[in-house]
Amino acid sequence: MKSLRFILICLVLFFIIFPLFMMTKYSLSDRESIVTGGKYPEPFFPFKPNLEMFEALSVRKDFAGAGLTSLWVGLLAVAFSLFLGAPTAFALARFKIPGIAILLFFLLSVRLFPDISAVIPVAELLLSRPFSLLPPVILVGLAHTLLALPYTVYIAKGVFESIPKDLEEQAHVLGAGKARTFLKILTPLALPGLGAAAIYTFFLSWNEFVFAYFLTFQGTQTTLPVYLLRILTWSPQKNFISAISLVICIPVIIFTFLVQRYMKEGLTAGAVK
Amino acid sequence: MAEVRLENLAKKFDQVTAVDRINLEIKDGEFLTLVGPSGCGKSTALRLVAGLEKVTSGNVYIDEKAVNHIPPQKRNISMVFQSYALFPHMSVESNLAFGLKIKRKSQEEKMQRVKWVLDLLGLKGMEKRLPKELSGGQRQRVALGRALVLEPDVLLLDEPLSNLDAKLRLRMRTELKRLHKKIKTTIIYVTHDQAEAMTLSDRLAVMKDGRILQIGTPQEIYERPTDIFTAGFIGSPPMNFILGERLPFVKREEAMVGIRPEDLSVSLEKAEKSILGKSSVTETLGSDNYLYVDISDLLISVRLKPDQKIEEDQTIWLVPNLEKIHVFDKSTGRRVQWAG
Ligand SMILES: Nc1ncnc2c1ncn2[C@@H]1O[C@H](COP(=O)(O)OP(=O)(O)O)[C@@H](O)[C@H]1O
Ligand SMILES: [Mg+2]
Repeated sequence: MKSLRFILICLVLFFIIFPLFMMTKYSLSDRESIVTGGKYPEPFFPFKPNLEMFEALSVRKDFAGAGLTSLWVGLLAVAFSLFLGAPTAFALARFKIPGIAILLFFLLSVRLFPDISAVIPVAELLLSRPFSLLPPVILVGLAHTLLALPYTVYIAKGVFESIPKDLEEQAHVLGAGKARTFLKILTPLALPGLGAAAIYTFFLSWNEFVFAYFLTFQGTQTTLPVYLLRILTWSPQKNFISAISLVICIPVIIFTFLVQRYMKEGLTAGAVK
Repeated sequence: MAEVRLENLAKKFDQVTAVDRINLEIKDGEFLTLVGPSGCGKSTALRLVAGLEKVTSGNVYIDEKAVNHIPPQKRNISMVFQSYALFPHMSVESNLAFGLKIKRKSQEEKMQRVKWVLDLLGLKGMEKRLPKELSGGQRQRVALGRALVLEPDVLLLDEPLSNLDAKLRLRMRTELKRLHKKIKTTIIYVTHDQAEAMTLSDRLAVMKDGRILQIGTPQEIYERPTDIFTAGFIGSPPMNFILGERLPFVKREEAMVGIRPEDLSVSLEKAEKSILGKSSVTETLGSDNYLYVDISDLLISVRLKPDQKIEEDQTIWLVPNLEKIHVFDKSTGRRVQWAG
């Protein structure tokens, strides 16, 4: 049993680490290590590892632009989905609403279709007036809000349900009105959980390709995943494309490690009192 | 300080009638307890006074002012919840000062009042702690302090001691009593523990199924319960109930006779107006010994005199103190006059 478990863990680790290793390896490779022409086998590690690709990337304005776009789109998606999702979740958690099951189903429905079919009506809507007048950052942000909202609402609903109603009533009894209770009691208690929802939304947006592509394929300004595709269509060298994907991955990896504990707390906030 | 009056107060949740047209007057500075089994509507009644539930019908008056439409934050009441409901992200000090801040008290007065409560409840040195860093008893006191610091007209306490262990509960019981003597606020207290109700209250109201069965001082209720439920609920060990026809000296049809364990004495010889039985085990409850006696299919508890010892399986006679027996109508459960 124990050895089986060990093998399974190794297998999982391999699948996680191998792509990362390949990306790192290629991004550091010199030309001879990847263009072998079949004369010798590709080395396990580059002959002369170097940072040339990263230097090349760092001076590219379009790459930095895509990075910034991704960042803004992510932040917008976080802001929109919290702004819309948290109050909705609060209402769902606290008040008896007739037909709530149907409501929650519709909320999830965008995610029931494959993205590629859901994107058509969404793009149709957002690319026609008056939405089309908005800058692409906002359009993609809105689309990502649509995708993230069900999760935000579900997570936040759990968060609010985990806050005992007694606390609110106690605040009222002590003289606090609705607004003060929301600000001083509910918000601070919900914050870690809502933080988890925010992180989740940001990563969803950071990774999202289909909607970003359909909404930005005509313009120059786009997000990192779509930018990556544009670069790919020029068939660049392995080392350049690896450097780009590594740079896209790194914030996600670092951040996940940093907030792992925090996120776990938030996601299970509904389960434990 | 204030009077509270409940007038035909009722609360319905869908199908359940939690509180069923109760009438109650609580005097200024009085310690009144709502006591009854779990689910009888005590908490709901308290929440109606607090304004946390909307009344279905009837009125709540605080100092002769109908408060039905006044939200809880404007009633100048305080409530301690069974769960204590301490704000987990705030220190003891911030918890205590929460209500004072809203009332826009000066910094000086705030400090002074918080200090008063810390002293009063022995919480000094805990100011900076978070609720999770306190013991159960300390949390309970913070919850109480947070309510007291506002000097409310009425203090509502919902089973505030039920989450404490037995020893601490007893200590807090005396502390509460002492506290009430000192601050003289009107207190409405809710508990399912009759002993707590008996020791703490000036008066108590016994509730069952949403109704108030009897209101009176602990002594009145103990000595003259007006119905069979109250008779059995108040007192420990509980009152014995024997069908009237088995007691030939109670000349009344359709009667249920209640006799408290201390109103029975054990005789080893046949006595007049007594009940024949067989002794069973003796149980010690604190300083008192209780003997259980078999009278055919019924087990009767009797308080023994100090030093009295009765072996098991002896034939004995139980002699009731006829002045202290309670007679109830079997079908209505109400107390009936009985001339011994
Ligand atoms: N919010 C509510 N919704 C529906 N029924 C309730 C609600 N609160 C209390 N009840 C019902 O009302 C009755 C009295 O409850 P409660 O006042 O909590 O009793 P107690 O405090 O005496 O144990 C119970 O039958 C309970 O199930
Ligand atoms: Mg209760």
